[in-house]
Amino acid sequence: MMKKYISILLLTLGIAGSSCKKDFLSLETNPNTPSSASPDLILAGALKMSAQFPNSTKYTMYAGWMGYLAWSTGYQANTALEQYAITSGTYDVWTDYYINLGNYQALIATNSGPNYTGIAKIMTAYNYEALVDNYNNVPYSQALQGTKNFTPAYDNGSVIYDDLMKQLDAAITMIKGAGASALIPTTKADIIFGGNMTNWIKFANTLKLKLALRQVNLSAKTGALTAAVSATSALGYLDGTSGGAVANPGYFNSDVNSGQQTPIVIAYGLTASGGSSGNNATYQANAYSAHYYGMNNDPRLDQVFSATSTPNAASATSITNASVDWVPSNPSWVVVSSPFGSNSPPQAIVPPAAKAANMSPSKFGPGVLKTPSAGANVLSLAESFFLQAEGVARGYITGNAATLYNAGIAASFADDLVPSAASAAATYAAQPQIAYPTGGSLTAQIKAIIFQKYAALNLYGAFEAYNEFRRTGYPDDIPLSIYSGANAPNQVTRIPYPFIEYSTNAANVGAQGTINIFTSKIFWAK
Amino acid sequence: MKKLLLVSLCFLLLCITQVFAQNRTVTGTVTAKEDGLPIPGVTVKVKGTTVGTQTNTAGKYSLANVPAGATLVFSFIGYQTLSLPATGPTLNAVLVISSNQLGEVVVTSALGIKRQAKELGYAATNISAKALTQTSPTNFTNGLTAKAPGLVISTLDNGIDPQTRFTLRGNRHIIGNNYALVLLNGVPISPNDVNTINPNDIESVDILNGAGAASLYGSEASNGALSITTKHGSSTGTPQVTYSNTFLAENISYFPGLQTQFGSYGGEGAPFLDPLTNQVTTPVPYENQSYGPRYDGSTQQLGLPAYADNGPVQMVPYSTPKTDPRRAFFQTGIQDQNNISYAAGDAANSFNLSANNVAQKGVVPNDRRDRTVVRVSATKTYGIFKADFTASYSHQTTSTYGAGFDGASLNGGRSLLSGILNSPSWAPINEYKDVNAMFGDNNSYFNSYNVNPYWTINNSRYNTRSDNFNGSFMGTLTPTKWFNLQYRLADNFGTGVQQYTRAQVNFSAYYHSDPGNTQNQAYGALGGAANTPGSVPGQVQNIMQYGDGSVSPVNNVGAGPQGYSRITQDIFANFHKTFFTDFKTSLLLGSSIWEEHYNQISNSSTQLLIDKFYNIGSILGVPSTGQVQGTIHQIAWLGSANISYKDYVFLEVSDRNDQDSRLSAANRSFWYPSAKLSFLLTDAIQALKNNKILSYAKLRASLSKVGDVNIPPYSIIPTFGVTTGFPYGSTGGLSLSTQLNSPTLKPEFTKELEFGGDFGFFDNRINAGITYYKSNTTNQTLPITVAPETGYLTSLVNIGEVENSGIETKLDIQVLTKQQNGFGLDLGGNFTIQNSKVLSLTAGLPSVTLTTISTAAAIQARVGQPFPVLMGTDLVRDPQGHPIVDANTGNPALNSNLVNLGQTNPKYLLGLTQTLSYKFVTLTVTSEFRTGNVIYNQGLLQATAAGTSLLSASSGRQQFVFPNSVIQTSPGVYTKNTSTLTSDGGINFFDSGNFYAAGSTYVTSGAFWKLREADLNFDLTSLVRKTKVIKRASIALIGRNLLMWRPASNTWTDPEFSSTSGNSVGYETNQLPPTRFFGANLTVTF
Repeated sequence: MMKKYISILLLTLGIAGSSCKKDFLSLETNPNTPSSASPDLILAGALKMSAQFPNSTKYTMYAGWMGYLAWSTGYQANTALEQYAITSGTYDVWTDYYINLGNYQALIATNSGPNYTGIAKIMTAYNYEALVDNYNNVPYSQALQGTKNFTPAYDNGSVIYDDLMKQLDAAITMIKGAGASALIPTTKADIIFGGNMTNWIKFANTLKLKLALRQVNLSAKTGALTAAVSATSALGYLDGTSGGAVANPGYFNSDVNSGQQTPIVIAYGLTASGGSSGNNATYQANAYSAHYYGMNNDPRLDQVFSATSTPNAASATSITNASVDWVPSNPSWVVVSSPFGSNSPPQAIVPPAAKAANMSPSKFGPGVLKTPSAGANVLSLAESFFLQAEGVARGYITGNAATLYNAGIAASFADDLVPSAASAAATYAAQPQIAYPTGGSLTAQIKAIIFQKYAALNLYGAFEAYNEFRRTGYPDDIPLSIYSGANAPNQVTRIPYPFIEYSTNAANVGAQGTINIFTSKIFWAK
Repeated sequence: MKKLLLVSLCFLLLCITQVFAQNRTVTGTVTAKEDGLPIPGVTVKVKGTTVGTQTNTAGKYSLANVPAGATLVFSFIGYQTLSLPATGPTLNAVLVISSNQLGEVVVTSALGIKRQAKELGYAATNISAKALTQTSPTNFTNGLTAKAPGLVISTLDNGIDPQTRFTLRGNRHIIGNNYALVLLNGVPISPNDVNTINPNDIESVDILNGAGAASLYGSEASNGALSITTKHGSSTGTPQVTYSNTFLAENISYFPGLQTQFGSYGGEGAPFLDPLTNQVTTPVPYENQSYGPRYDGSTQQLGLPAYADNGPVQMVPYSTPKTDPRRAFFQTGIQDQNNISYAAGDAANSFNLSANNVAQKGVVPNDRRDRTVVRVSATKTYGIFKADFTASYSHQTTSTYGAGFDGASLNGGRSLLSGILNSPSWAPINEYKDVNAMFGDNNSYFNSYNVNPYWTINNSRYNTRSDNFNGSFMGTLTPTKWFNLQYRLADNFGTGVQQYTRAQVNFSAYYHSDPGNTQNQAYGALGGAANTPGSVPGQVQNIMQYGDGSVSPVNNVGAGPQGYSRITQDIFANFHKTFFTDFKTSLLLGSSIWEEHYNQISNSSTQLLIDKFYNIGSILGVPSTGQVQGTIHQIAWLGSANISYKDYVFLEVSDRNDQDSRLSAANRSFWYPSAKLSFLLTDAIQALKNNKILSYAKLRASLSKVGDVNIPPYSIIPTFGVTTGFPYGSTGGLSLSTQLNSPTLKPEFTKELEFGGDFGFFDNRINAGITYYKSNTTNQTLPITVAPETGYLTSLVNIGEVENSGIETKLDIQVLTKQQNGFGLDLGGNFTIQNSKVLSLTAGLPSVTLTTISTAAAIQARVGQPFPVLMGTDLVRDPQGHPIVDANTGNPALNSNLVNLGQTNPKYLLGLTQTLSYKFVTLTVTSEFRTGNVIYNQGLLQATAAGTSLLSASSGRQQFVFPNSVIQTSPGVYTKNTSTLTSDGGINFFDSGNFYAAGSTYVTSGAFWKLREADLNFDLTSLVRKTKVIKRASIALIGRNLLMWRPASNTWTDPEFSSTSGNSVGYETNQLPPTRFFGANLTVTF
């Protein structure tokens, strides 16, 4: 009897057990997100993120300090921005760069041939350059090792720059040496150059020139840098043929997937449904750059900023808390801008009752917030021309500096969608205070180039404008914040390391010492 | 049903009785005092002999050969033993329930196996249906509140369908699930599904406090278990129909503390501010903040002129109306509950059918809930085979409010509660019910920065429908006395469908031009007055989920195994054997296999094509879509052996092996053993037997280990995710996940030691229990934040240890017994101390942040501290803790480092229940006290910034000496500040500056004393019994959460509330204010 029951029991348990085949418990495969990715998909994603950073809200603080934008006078003051009340917790442009570097490393790990690896190396150099320009010494040789090293040590910024030059050379060599059978990214995957590897070489070479010029204040390096640049100068730079490095995965006017508009519209424009998003409501035109355009009859004035028809401006007996610049092409329209740090709304005193009337401050205009489907500048054509102009002026490369300078202005006019851009640019550049000082002192030439670069980089290149300001000191008349209590000795020289470093890699970031935002400098700074 | 089960137990436990033929035969019927119904299975013995019998299913007995002058003893588990002299041939007995006979309380353990409490080597509490449903809660966990030691039940807020969080013995897991496992007839269900159970279907709930529960229920029970047994029909042979109705009103009981002295102003300059004196001269008509002049009763303009510069103007008395408009917005909610049940059966078979409907209107207008639950249960016995079947279907629809229109993202606008609590008190916001009328519509609403709350409740809504099924079938084969085999198949699943809809908002050209330059709603919603669109399109979101019937986010391990459907198969074999007459043994061997699965599909658009046409097919642009699915498989083997000696020493040892699909093949199999010992002093020691004072004494000890997988499925292999923004048409992009997944993950392990004792005094009229426990949970699975230069943001690792310890006590006193005194008075109470401590985290990392509430406050796990703790910024203080103020400005300084502001789980818990009865009237009162924790009030921060909180007006808007402040006179020397005033007492102090910025400003004690339940019951049975149709009837007046006492410093809200159902308890964000329920219940049994 007992045996019978035990055998029934065993049989039942046996049935239960046998229904649990091995694969019953093997459910590792994630049905929600893929565990592997093709090189094309990784490339498209990584390039999109690279184009996102300079055009997003990441560099709003540099845009404020550089005179491109001002905190809205309709809001409570942003003391971090306007009073320079910056701590390690205020700004973090560190995290996103390293996370995206992980994607380029994943792309290299797919072993998809010299073209993919070359592009990954070029973009890795582009990202690390941005990290050094923001933070000086950063983890490089021990970075991106996952669990193998949770606390990478920091490398010297200057040493990283040297290695980036080598990496760019290696990438160029790799792409040039790619055989006919080497895989080329598809037009869709390469959202910057559509698989045109010649343009990638030009881009790498332009980055090389940029890295070299960035270090002009280090006289000890000049010889080596000149040699390195001239070794590849024959390959050419981003020019009219290649265009600038502009990413466009197919941006369009949609709010889904966290926004599909071009990043600068997501950051400063309106959502597809017409709502305010990102920084649109919180920022307005900064009087410094608006007035720079205004006083030079620059048609970019009402392209970069939105102009309004303000009858009060014409009849006003006085205007307070604002700079009013008349639009060159339309005398009844103005751009109303605020000094940085102002928290009083622009007002016009209007006769006959001497009544104070609020004036609507200008926001960014149609040359910056183009269509939601416009491409995003990674390295604009204007910037490339100005880099080449400076390279010629300094004797790093050969060419005609004035021609390159004018080409830079024309490229900027075109980029800002100025009507009849070419002729308008020529008219503008012919003005005596704008014309290239051919034969002038190197200082005069550099000043002209950097001022024009500054005028071109509004708003997408705020970070680069800030870098060039710190390298050359130009524009040399950007006012400090007028916010009461700001009292800064000078412009911020660098932002502190981000808070996350102090909580996750404390010993190594601590070894970098105390960062003073008004005196600590990037190694190449003036 | 209980009786039936007890009967079977009696058969099992009773020694074979010998019957000797003597004298005469006595017959009679044994009935229960409480309901007058016959009790089957009562043991009837001749005192001093072994002669005895049992009552049959009709409660009748016949005992032959009773000697003359003998006394008969009637005993039955759960009832007081009764001795009556057998004076005639007929002897009827009426038994009285004994709720306090510790040794005989039966606890249901795994698989519906009933075990006597004396056998248990661990802490367990049995809550009867009566205690559970005395105030007719719709969610059974609410009925458990304050009734068991160690159990903490917290209601998240007072919405229409409130979620509860229930933990036993505190939080063991830092990131993982800490919910007690809910077992419905032995089968685990999702914590979301507690609300789909009809509390009236519950026969009893057994609360198993410790990790030892997991030895049979598996790793999910590592946090203890709430084991529900549902009713199974009657065993009396006569069908029984019970109908009950509960009608409750609900209203706001404690409104957050708001000031009613000052009107609108938000920092504007001229013409509202006198440039010379800097005093606010006139209220700002369109302003949201309340930092304006003191109310003076004058008539003032509210809002800007409607529709045109010279349009109509709303003139309103500049004072707070008699009824605060912010409170008047809320209505009296109604809860109408109807329940009907049919029970039939006999000793071997039973049938139960019940239906329950709850129709509810919330305190927020338009909020509705309707739930219907139908359950059928049946048992049938065929010889050696017994089949047991139960199934329930529930259907629930709810409609709740969303957020305002002033945000472009999906339901991204202002919260209804913050809008109401931050509104100036002179604005009659309860009068703008017509959202199309002048001053009520969006183009003329007075507040430039806020939405008419009636617009929100009319036009922004979540409509949810849930359908749930749970059913189980169990077959038991009992071929011999010493062996049985059980097979059970159980399935729980449901679908949740939710649609969120928000109507389009149209702005007139005039309003859109931002008259008054206030940067009004149109300015904010449309991106500036200069921009062209004049309307914000409508929104729609659909979520469809197959799983547990909810639409809660899946993979949310912190809040229990939410979202999953589940199918479980159990096979168990039980052996019993007695050796050498004194050693009783039993062995249980079994296997359990389960699968959990969910699939959620969602879509949404913020660009509806047509106003109020909510269909994802009619939109501009493309919809956002998403799908998340997950499956977990587990196979378990278990063995458990029990051995007892002479019925006073009980030892249970068990071991269990789980294999879990969430872990890699190398780590997925893990074992965990347990041992439990119970020793009955009063039976073992001769001197203690029949002791008049100490009637019962048991000592117990338990040592158990349990493994627990606390990761969502698919957490061991790195993945790629779609890059933000993609796909762009036909261009796709992927990015490496920022979480570094590792195949080396292992289960978390909890080791728990507990010992304690249960004691009865004075014939068990005083019962006491005490338990000490200590558990250590190691291998905590934590997504630690890593340095970004590693290429990742987080990494899942097994690291860290949390220790929980505590003391759980309970004491029940039968002060007066009704049978003897006419009056009955029972006092019951439980007191718990819960300690927790984070022993270690990852090397070099002092803390893990669970939730960052703001830059000023965060909920963390910190080494050496209780878990979790509230960390926040604080004022700079002297060594005695006094705030140091600046000698010149009188203002405090800010310490921007996060400091420990206190633990967020209560440390001390006291629950009290008093029952007073006289004749047919019974009053039962349950109250609860909790303390030892703090709460961060995010809503208070917002209302202080808005100038509406009492705090914001605590200085009368005048400069003041900062309370308890000191001034540093020389380094390290502080003197009391008696004269230096703060620089401001209004907007510049309470809406900016260091006091405003400090996180500690908004932290209050979490202590409270609540009158949880009061029930005044009139038993009308004696009145209605004559009708013969009605067997029983009662009417009760009931109330829930009637009163609450808090420390005076807490002027804000109920500190029980929480913004999250997860582990980071301890902060609220504009939860609905606390409410009280009161009403009546009628129960009739036919």
